[in-house]
Amino acid sequence: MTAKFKRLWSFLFARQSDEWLTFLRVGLGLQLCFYCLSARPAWIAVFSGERGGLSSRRISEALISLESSLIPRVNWLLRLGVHFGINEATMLWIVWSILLLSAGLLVIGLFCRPAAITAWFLHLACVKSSEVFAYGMDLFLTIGLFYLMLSPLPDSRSLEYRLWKSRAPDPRMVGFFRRVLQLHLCIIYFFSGLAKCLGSGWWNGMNVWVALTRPPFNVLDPYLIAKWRILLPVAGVSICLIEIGYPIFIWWRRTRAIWLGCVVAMHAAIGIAMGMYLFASIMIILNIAAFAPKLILVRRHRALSQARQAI
Amino acid sequence: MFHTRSRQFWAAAFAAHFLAVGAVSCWDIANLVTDRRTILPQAFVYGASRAVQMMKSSSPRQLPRPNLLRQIVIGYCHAAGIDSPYTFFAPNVPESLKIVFEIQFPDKRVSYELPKVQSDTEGLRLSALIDQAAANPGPWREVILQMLAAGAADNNPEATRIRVVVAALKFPRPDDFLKGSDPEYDFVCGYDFIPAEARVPD
Repeated sequence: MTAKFKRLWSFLFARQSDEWLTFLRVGLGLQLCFYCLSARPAWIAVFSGERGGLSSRRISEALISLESSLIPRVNWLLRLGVHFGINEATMLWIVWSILLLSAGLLVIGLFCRPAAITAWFLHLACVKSSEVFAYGMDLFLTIGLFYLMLSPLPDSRSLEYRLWKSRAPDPRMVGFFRRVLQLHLCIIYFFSGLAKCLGSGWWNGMNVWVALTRPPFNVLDPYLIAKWRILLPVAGVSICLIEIGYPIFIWWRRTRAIWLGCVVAMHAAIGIAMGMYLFASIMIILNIAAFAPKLILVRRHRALSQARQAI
Repeated sequence: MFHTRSRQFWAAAFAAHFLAVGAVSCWDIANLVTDRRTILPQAFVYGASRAVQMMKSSSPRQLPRPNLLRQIVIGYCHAAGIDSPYTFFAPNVPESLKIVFEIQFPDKRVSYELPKVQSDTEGLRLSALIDQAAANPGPWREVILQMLAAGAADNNPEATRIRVVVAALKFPRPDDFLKGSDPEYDFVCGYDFIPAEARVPD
């Protein structure tokens, strides 16, 4: 029992370098920048309360109030603005600007912890106050920002670390938070794959056909897809196998690179073929941060030593 | 000593966090089976519905709304992004739904409009909203359709009545599509909305 517990302990708190954290910080910062820029045209329309009971913000906030009164929401910030005599539209643009600023700070690695907390809080408030319009990307960005905020920041490649020579993060805690992200991704893919395997449409490829032809995901020409219809069942079964096999094959050293490549390719294909660019990019960022940097670093190290030997 | 205590705290938090993630995911799968939306035979439905009942009875949602424990657990799940399951497009891809606004003017003129979106991302968000609203008949669907109609009323301040029509797009199978079959629309629901400015006072 003690041996098993010790093994579990050393698995959870394995010493790890913080390259993955650098990747996660920069990746999520960029993702948040794109989120802000894509939301900008409808920012006021989504969060304005002018329509009274029929405003999307009021409906979303009424819904989340039924869940818990502790969930952050834009209304808290607007009330704070009223306290200082700032009107609704100005306050909404202030929120947007601070969110974009915190995303920028995450990318360059300055004031990492406060920027991560601010980004998580404001993003969560915005997502929950537009809950009726939320989709998968918002959920995964919340997950990523939540883990980033708790992780040992600043990482050793951040500007903050280089400027002020902050204390190096505890490698065991760095390892712990990477394990959390890795295990969470395993659960996400396992249940997503399991649910797909339980649907008939993924085995005969019909779900791939419906997904690629239903608006607003109909980016590709349906004639082209119909001509290549023989590949639809292959694509459907591959998606099921990649997802349900993820928690096994991503841990096995020999198959890790293949599985990671398959998952990244699957998300890239979803992004290109269905126009879900932001969803694809957040999934790729989370996957690479969780499982890839070590692979990349090992390869780079090998290439460097080979080059040295050659010299 | 400090490090050990700190790690013990994080390990306990990890266990609680993943208990919540696992519970939400298992509940969703069991719910799909109970709703007979999967290919599993009838024998599994009984077991799944018992599992759903068990999970439901131990869920913090069973506690009264003002209960602090309920508020904290559900609030944490939302804050960590673990409140929803991960079954996107599963077990099957839902049918595509379209919304059309039939706008009536004081001179009895009628015009038709589609919801306006200003970016691709907004289009995705609107699609998710319409799917969610159409899947839940009742007051929730009405509120969402009213909200969308209010948006159309903002763009047409002279409108006296807006009828929101939701239709499901039936795309032909690949073979039929190549033979020239066209997509068809099936009526799902409709809702009449009278803008506040056009309402006759009692």
